[in-house]
Amino acid sequence: MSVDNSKVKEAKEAPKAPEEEIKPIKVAGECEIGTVLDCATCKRCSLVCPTELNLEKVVRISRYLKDPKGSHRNVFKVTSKLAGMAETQSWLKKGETGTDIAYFPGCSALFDILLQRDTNYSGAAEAAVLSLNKLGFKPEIIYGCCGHDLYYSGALDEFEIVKKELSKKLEGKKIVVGCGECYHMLKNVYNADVITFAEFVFEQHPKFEKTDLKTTYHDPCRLGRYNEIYDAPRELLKKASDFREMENIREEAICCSVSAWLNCNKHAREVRFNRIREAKATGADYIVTACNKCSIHLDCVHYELNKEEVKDLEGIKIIGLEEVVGYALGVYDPFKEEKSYEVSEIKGKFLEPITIEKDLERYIDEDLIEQAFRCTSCKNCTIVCPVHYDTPGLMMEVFRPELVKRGYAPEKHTKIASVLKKTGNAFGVETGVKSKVNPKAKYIYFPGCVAQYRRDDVFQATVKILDLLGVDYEIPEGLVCCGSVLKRTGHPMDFLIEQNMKVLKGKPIITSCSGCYATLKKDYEGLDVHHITDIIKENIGKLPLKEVKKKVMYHDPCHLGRKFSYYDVPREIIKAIPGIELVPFDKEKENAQCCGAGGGVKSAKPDLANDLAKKKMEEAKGKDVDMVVSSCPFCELNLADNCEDIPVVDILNLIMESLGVKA
Amino acid sequence: MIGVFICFCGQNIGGYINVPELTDYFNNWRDDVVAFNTTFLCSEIGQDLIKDKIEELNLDAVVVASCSPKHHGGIFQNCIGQKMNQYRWEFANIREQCAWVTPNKKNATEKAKAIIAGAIEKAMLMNDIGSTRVPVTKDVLIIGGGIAGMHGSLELTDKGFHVHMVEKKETIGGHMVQFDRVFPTDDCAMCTSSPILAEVAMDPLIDIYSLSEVIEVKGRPGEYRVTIRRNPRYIDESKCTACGDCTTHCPVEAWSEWHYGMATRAATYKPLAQAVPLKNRIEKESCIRCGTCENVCKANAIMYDQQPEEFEITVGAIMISTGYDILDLSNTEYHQEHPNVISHLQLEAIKVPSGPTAGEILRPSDGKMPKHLVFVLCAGSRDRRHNVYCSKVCCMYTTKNARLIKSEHPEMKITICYIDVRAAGRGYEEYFDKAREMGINYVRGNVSEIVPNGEDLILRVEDTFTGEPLEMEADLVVLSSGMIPSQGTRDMSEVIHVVSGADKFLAPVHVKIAPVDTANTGVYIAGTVEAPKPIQECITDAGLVASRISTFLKDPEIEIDLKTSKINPEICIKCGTCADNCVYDAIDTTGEDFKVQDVSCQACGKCSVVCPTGAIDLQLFTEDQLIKQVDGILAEDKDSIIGFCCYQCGYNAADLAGTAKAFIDPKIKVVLVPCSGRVTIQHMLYPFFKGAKGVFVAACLEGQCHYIDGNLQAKEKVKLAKKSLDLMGIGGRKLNLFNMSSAEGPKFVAASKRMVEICQ
Amino acid sequence: MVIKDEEMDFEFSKKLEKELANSFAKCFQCGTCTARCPGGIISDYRTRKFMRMAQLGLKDKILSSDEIWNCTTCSTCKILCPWEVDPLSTILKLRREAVRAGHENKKHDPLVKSLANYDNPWLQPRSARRKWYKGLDVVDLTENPGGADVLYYVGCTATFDKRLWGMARAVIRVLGKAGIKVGVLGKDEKCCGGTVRGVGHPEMFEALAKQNVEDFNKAGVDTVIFSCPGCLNTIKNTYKAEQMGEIKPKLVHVVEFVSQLIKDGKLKLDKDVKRIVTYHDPCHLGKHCEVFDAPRDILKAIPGLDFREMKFIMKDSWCCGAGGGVKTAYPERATELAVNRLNQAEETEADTICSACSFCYQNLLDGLVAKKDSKMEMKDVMEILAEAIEE
Repeated sequence: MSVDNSKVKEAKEAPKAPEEEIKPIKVAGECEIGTVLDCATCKRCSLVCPTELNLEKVVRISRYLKDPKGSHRNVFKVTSKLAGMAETQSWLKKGETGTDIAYFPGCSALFDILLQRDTNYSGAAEAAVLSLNKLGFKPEIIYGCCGHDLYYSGALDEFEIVKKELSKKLEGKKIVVGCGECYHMLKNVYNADVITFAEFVFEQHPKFEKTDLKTTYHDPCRLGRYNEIYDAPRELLKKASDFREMENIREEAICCSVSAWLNCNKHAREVRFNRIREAKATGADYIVTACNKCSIHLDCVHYELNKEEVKDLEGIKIIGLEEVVGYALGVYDPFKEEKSYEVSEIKGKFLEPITIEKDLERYIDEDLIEQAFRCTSCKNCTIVCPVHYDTPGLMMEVFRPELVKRGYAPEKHTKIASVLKKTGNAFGVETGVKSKVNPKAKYIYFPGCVAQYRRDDVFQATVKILDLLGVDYEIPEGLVCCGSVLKRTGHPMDFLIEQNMKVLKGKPIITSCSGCYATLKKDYEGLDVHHITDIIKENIGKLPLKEVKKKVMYHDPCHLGRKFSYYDVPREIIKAIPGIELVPFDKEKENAQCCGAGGGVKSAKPDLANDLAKKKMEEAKGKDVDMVVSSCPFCELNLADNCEDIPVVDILNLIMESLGVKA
Repeated sequence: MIGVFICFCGQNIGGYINVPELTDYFNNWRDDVVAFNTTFLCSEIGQDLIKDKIEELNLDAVVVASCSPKHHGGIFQNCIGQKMNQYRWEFANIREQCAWVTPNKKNATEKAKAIIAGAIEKAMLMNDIGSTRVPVTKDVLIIGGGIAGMHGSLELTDKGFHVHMVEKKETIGGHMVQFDRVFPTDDCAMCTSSPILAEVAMDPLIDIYSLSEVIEVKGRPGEYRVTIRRNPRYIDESKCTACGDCTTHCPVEAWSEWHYGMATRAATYKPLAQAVPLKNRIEKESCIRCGTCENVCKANAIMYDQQPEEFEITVGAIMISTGYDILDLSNTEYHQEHPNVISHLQLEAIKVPSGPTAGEILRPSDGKMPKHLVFVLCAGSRDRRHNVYCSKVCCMYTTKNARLIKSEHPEMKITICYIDVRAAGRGYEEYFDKAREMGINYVRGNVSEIVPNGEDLILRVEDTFTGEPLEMEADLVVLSSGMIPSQGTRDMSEVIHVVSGADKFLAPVHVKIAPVDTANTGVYIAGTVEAPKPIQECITDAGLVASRISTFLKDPEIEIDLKTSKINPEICIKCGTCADNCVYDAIDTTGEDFKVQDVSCQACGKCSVVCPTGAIDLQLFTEDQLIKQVDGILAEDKDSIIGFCCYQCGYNAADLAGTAKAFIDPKIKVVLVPCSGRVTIQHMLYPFFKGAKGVFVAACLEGQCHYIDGNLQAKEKVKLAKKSLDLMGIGGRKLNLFNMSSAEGPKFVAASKRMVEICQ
Repeated sequence: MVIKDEEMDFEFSKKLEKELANSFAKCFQCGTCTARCPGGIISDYRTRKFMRMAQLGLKDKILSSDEIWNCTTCSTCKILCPWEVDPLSTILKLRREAVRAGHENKKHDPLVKSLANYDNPWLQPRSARRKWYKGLDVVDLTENPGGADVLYYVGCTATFDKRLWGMARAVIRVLGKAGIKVGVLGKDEKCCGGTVRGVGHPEMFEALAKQNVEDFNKAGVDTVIFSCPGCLNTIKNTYKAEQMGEIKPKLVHVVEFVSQLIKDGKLKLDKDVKRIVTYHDPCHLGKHCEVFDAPRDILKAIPGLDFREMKFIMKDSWCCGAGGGVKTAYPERATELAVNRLNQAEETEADTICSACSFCYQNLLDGLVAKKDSKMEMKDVMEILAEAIEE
């Protein structure tokens, strides 16, 4: 993979420190559909990912594993397989061709044929060639398929064949490319000598007639976040038309919502509707884009026949950047009705079927394993993701289990798993579980491994508070680890579920650990799970809270916060303590930054976990607070490990302090 | 675990395919497949084998490798339904489409492997399919009031059903009441049919709509909503007493259609004395609006400004008995435009006692009695330029007319030219024998030419027994022209979407074992709407239809299997493309999520083809099932040519090619689809990726798609796919669409041949 | 005569059937073909009987039969057959088998020999091919490829029968008047091979065909025009059906070419022709190549001309009797049929019978001679047309 994260990071920071301004896209509840499909590989997540994960690669290879079907009845996946195997015929109708540079028009003619829409998608290619002619170039046209859709739909074996064939044609040529996808592939995957049409034309300093088009520019992900090409298209449009900017632009641009024809669904539709609405708000008549696919997917809006819903989206057209340039140069008419391609009947090539056995091993490399186990499952990405893609879901449900099955699990994880198997807890303590037998009790207290074996203070605090509130509970014998650590590292956890379910017997559960809370609620079936703060908040009046004169900060545990939108209850409890001053982190609630410990990162990559925790604690230090409060023993463990100056306590400890009880 | 059951079918499969080898092959094929064979899978022993193994091995699905599903599909479905969901099975047609069309045993066995492998792959993805119950209406619509329609309606009212009878003409009765006599008894046709006419007229359970047409049929089996247009009679039916005063005073004299131009009538008339309803009618084209009738009508029944009216009725079942017309041979080598060349129906019109000559045989040009009367049999029949088929009844009615005329005029020379005399039927041969005895001259030879010679005619024919060409002079020639489907019959394939054959007669589901059922549940056909046939067969048909309808409507509810399309609301983007594309209005777009209305859905799958996201899919032929089937076939034989054949026509034609034991290249592998409109571009392109040499779609004839426009949509899709194949350099010529009717086995053979040629 | 079991060779019929597109196996013996067959009028030849004999595989009986040589290949049987069986192709096939079995009609020997030696059926030297166009402005395309607008393939009959030179020369004159430069193949023109094929010698046919295809493609013109419909039908249809090679130039009969010239206004007809004319459809132009209107259009365009139709025209037209080797083998029978047709022509009270075929011309001329008392004149359409053109 040639797009590395550091580069993207730089881009992210270079122009205007956007980190501060990223607007979260509101998530309506949990969203876990289509684990492999939904990602549009737009890289918007890279803006916020604390571990700078290369998600795009993981997604591709997961798709290789699952071979998902695409939209439009999979037609485009099949055609992209076929297109690479035979010799595409020359289809451009107009323009002079020669040899000084090469132009790669992509597959727009194929889309024109198969989609049969009013819009002339191949017009961009025609306009590009005519514009180049006008500027004094007669490009040689290289017909073929760049294989982008194969690459991103996970047909990696087929892609290798396409790549081999196309590489021969590209060798030793300087290639101008209009389409964002083709550019990205040719530049970063083929490592060809390639330049975008926009940059190429911009370098020529052409004389434009300013046209009367009112335009706005949609950044294609492949040009924008992948390759940091933001300015050349804008400069051209400013010269050629009456140009306006949308709300989310440049690195923050929102994707057209579909990648490799895979993930068109109601979420994707919502995204493109919003994007069109954004464009309409600028008052532009044309959305200009420099990617064939963006054009097509955005244009879909005009073919979604449920008219009532899309009424406000009418009246804005999609047009290729090349077309605007061609129009401004006076060589191309974007309003013509005829299509720009020409296909003649041919005898055709004899096709040999591809008989490669699918084998994931072919694509597993160190980088991939590294990426796979970097995710802390913090879900920060889902907040900025246009389709609310559930990255941790992909990691935990699909990708890590597969790697674990193949023996690529980090040593530390394997060790924990074997320990867990032996002792029923992640820390390998064999001295038995603290239990309180009371079969008639209404609730079960599920303490969790951290509270039991590493943070006895939290355990004690919980027990005391429960007693204080008069909650009727038991800690039955035979409870084992909830399995969170196994689940998140991709190991099987069924044996734990089985064991716990035997003991839990369907009673309502109280837990003080966010990890246990999330696991019991999501991965077990039919359990009534409560976080202790919930119980406390309901009964806060019963607690004789005394003044605690302290300045504190609350850290949102990812498994409680983003996963269940559980932000307010802990804050209300803290605020209920007289004398407490609650100072917010710069990014909190749904934007909160992860402590870095989750998803097995703490055990497998302690440095990474520590770095993140340090960063967090640095901020707390800067704000000069007395303590950092949280409601997850595991977060607290990691944060406390990385800061000696400021104590990190559990919200229960704080209550205990307020009650004047020493744990 | 999938169980594969391979049938020897005696020698029918066993003689052509190495069944034991096949069984071994699939037993060692994959761990999740087991194979068995038996002599006759459809026998009780065979069915027990299937049932036992389902239970014993806890099978997930069954593959039946035997004959065409059109034969024993029902038997196996029943058998499997006793042990698990009745749709958890897939067939592999290795008899009609493999054993019988592949002469080389080794090739046939290899082809069978590919077919079965495809079926197994498809069966892997089988789902349970449930059913639902819907109410039915006990009213019946009968379209066409000829002898079949009349008989059927009486049978139905006897069983207590309410009948709506729609007749295009001004009176019911059909052709039979226009005849003089009927063979082989020489009974008077009117004397035989008038009691039936009267009974129908008086039956309180029959509503007769004369001068009416069915213009639209909507709804579903058990509850069809039928729109009827009643054309104006220009006479108030409720007032007219059929006294005939208007006819007497009408100054107009026009050719009578009822008498095929052999007589004249006034502009206001009733076609016959026994007409039902017994009312006069003003024929608008010939009426000069002089107002005379208005003046003389004592009942004040004349209504010049009457307008056509449309109304809707709801019925549970429909019987179509719209009958036949005869071939018009004007301006052909038969020269029917010559006044003395007449059709047999015109001869009947002359011959009826109520006709223009009171039954005397006088020739039209000069009213003289002919000296030499020649009957030309097979006029336009058994002739590829007109009717390929034999009209079955011509030999007999021609003999009848010849005998009747000869017995009245023994001096008249009567010649009948024929190719073969087909006199099969009780008493028919005796009837023919008597004709020869009477001195009627039968010349065996087809008339090659009729040459007008003034008012007379010269006929050229070879007397094939002597082997000498004859030149005959005749003064009246009667053409025994073949029967063709009436306009009404042809309209029905548009209005109700009943499948018709290449000959445009409506096609039954199975010519032999379901002769009156159509592919549309609750719609039946009777009489010459299906094929040329004599009166007694029309009566038999009508009786059978009455019985079929009473079976269908016996309960207040009927059960419907939910083989329908289904929408996944998670993926659906509610664009509405499917609803726009559905001709049955089966997609409900009003609720929060779009839903398929199972009762209306006809399971053609056209919706799933147009869905941009893939949210809607047909349950019984899912997108993935078809792809997997193709995968299975191509994994066994990558050089295959995949033929997607529609259930109504293409698949039947392929079966017929097998029944005829035609040769079909073993490369050709058929994949069944419910309708050619179900085939997506993915289906058309995907096989090439897997190495297929070609792909074709076999669809119904244009205008005859069972699902109305599926084949036209397929045509459109094929066009796009061809173009994209051309663009991609693969060659669009390797993908083709062939239109064929279910009866056109040879067309399927030709299509296969063509594909093999192209894809070499 | 008893037909013995061993006489029936079903292998023979199966083999024939396989090689024919519309198999005689489907014939149901209705006799339509026979009732209207010109060969049947003049002999005991019964098409239907041969179809039956072919079905039964009576190989020896068929192949040794003399009757089979009475077919004039007029195609009426093919057009009339209700079951589209195509008896004509079957008969031609049977003839071929007969020759292969050593039963060739001895009366065709001189014709076949002549073709083998001189590339023409009339026992004439190759150099004599140049005679007819002496003094006319004609380009020899073998010496000067591409030197003309069209290639005129005159055909052996018109080349060697002096009586027909008027027709061939008329073609040159008419085309010249329209400003079209005409080329010929001169002494290198070869028989189209239709006759040898018709009398059962496919190998000779093939050799000639291949040569002709090459000559046509070398000539450097984009149109070849024909006077003889027999040649046109053979070269246009039979070569294609038997895959003798692709011919690049367009192949048309001269009447088609000229009627288009008239329609386009490129040929002006300014002289009255005072004739009462009837037109005889040549079988090979009409029934085989489906050219019916072009000659009639020409005749109707000629000022002053009174055009009358016979009773049997176009597809119903009667054969002149010359085709299929009948004229060579049985000249008296051919003449009998010609007289028959001339009688039909006389019913129209025309003073001129015209046609557009060298062979019909020759045979009808012979018929006129045999009739003695006829006042009618035989002309080609092109000759009459030439009369309408000012010198």
